[in-house]
Amino acid sequence: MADLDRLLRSDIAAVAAEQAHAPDFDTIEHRGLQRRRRRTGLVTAVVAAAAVFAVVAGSQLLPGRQDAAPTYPVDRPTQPWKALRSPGQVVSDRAVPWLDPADTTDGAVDIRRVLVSRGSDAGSLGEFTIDLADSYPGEGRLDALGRVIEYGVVIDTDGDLRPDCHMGISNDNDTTAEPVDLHVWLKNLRTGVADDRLGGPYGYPFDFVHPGQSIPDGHLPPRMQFSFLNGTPTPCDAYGPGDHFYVYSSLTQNGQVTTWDFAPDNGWLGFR
Amino acid sequence: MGMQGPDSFPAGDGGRGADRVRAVFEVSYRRLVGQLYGVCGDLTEAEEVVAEAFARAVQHQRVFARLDNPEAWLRTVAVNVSRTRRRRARMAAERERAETRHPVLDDERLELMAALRRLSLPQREVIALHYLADLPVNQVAECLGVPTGTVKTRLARGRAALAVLLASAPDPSEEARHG
Repeated sequence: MADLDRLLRSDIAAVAAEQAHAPDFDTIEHRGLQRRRRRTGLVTAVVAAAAVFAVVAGSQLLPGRQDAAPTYPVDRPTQPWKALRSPGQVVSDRAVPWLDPADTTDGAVDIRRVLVSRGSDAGSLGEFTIDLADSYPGEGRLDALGRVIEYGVVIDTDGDLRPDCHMGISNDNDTTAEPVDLHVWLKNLRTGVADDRLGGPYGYPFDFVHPGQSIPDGHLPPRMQFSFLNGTPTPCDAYGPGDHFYVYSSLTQNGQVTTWDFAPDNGWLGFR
Repeated sequence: MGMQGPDSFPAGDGGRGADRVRAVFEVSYRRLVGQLYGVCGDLTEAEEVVAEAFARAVQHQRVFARLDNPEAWLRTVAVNVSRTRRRRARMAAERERAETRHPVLDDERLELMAALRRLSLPQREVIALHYLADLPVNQVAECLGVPTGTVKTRLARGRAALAVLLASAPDPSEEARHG
């Protein structure tokens, strides 16, 4: 380990910096300015189109009109809300960002974008990123109302469009815990084998970035990120990489789920 | 190296936005490439992602002009660009593996770089930024957008994995040279 320390603390970055080829800044500036002009032009075009649309469609975009109702939840369940469902068909089988519409006024629960990437090893589940509309309230701690916010990913690992693996994270913890303990779990829904943990050390059964613990950042949206350390066994490993998945969020107040969002609202996303 | 530190760029309008980007480029470009080399495992790729980060700084020059620590912003953008490129490369079925470029390093260091490339991306990022780029844990956490506890966990696991890889590496300098 002494050798490893010496190597890690050696001058590799400095040598790389010295030997780096520095491009001409004018080229970089030109590239950036071109994009800036394209973006400005696009924004102008969109604003103009919106204005025309507002006039033609009877001023629907003008102030004073009540916001449209969220597109989801569309069917408030008569049964207790459940994260696990068989939501039907695949709506996108490509591993591209899924843009989710505004579904709830609670921004910490409103999923706006979903990203997924494969793991670098065969069989590795990779990384799921859930971008939210707004910041997480507080630091992952239960408040006086006992509000629990849960984020999760449900995976169909064999392509039959039924859930096989469920991972989730919530602040369903001891209110007085310091530092705040998060509840983290991953369950194989076929075998019932689960890895269920309360509090750190984190990283198992999956690693994560929780929006209640993230350092505020000016250029990244509030986000929940699930990732897997290569070589870390999980109860879902036997099924290899998932074929399809969906993500969800929910807010529980006084024991009742009052707000939730699925992305996609109905159906599955793919990894391909 | 004689490079200015990242605190040398007070926030503010400071005239034309692109001029501020240029000023930061003059001072920080090489240092950022050095830091990203460990993350990317390839000097050419490190140069490209850092250049892309500066192009985005020009694109968003008003935001950039107000940053207290523009080098940290550029580092985060460069790390994100490298992640995106990696994701796209994995998705491209016809991907051709270009030869990896390294600076002139002795065999021992090339062996370390080869082992580093075999770690998972999250582990490689924290090892590269904390040890090779000499950033404190809280700055690594800020750059990657993860809790400091997560950084510490990944550091411990990454070091353990590196030790195993280095102990069992057959001919690492060749592997590193040919990527």
